[in-house]
Amino acid sequence: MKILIVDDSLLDRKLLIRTLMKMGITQEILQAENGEQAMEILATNYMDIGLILLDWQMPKVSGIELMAGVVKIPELSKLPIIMVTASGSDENKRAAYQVNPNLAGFLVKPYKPEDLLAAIKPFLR
Amino acid sequence: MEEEIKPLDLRKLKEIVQQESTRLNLRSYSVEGESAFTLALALTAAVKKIFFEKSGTTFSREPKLEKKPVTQFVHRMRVDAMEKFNATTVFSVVEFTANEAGLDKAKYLLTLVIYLEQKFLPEFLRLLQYPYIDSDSDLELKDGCGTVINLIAGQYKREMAQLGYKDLTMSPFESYINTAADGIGIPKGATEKYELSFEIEGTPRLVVEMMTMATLPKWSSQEKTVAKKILVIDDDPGLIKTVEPLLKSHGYEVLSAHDGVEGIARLKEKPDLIILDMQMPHMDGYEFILAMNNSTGTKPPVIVLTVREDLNEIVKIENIKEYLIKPFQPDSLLKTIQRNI
Repeated sequence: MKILIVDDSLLDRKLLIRTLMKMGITQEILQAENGEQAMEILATNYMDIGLILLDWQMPKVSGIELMAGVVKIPELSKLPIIMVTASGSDENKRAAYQVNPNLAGFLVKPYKPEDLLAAIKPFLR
Repeated sequence: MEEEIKPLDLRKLKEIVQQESTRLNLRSYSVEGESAFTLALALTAAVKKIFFEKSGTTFSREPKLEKKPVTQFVHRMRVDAMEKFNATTVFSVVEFTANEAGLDKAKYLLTLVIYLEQKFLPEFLRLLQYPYIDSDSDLELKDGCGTVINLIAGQYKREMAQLGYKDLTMSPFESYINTAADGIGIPKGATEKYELSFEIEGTPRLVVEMMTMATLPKWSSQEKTVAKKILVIDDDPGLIKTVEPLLKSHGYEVLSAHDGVEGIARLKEKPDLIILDMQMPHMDGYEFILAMNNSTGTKPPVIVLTVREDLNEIVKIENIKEYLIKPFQPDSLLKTIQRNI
């Protein structure tokens, strides 16, 4: 399986990848800078992707918008999504779960590596 | 033979995302949660803690903010960096551009130059809960500086977004150890430079330089507005009592109504915006909006207050610009108003 990271910040992506690698994650990682790019990757790679780590605030198509669409598409609706965002208020969390009741996790930046691992572990294949 | 899995129709995928975003009103859904400069403040606190507890050195209590001429900026960056710090310094240039800022000729908005003294980095990282960066490795240390710098820059990005720059691009950072700096040119259109520094005994230890264009809105959130009228409709007198002084103190004129019927009557006074509770006796929020939409009079934008988990119902109604879930923060209300008035 592959993991798709969607985040507009290069450094945040690097940081996520570094953390995943340090924790021994060997799955291939795909990267997108915004929701639009993520859609392009999803369209052709969805069958291989087993987990999405999704930032909220991004230019063009935001994380929450992307998620709202993904849950409506039969081929993608079962894909586990973990939001990784700096916008961690309760209200945002509620909104995220409203858009996607099956949301696999909601991590707030800066996150602890252990929390990241705990969140993604159930979905690793 | 394996069955071939077909790629998804990208156009349809984009359509559905767009549709759902509109249906749930997500484009305008504002992400709240952190106030601006949280990190700068956190850093101040962190630095204070380090120096007060560990060395007893007096670290400046508040960051010093100075306005300086632009000409003193980047072309002498390396020299500047050497002058600012005695020890090894890492600095990074982060540039912001915007696509939808109404600045056709000058896309550039803001440049930040952030200087950090390398020896304090492990402490910063620890306090920022990034313990997995190995401060013994040069490469990681450099990246670690980038992390701190990026976190600082991220706060500015959020602040800028709140000022209305929705489609911001933050350039990939590049950090330099002070021996490798080539310096960069002054961005075109740069007019103002601010320097925010945290000091110990008069020596800056963490410095953020901001170079801006004159067209950038003022950083102060206390901008003067022409008195706009806001109609608050809620059967809870407690809410009106709280909201009214808050709005007045921000320069708005406030009209109030205790139910939809009274609200309709007050439309004659031509409010610029309506804040509407959905659950009320006599005429509730839904009925009020229906009545307003069917009337020939003024139809200002509506911000809905709701305690119920019925967003799906709410987003289907015309004229509702945004919603707030009770209980909400005064700050969220003000920002929502500013976006819609």
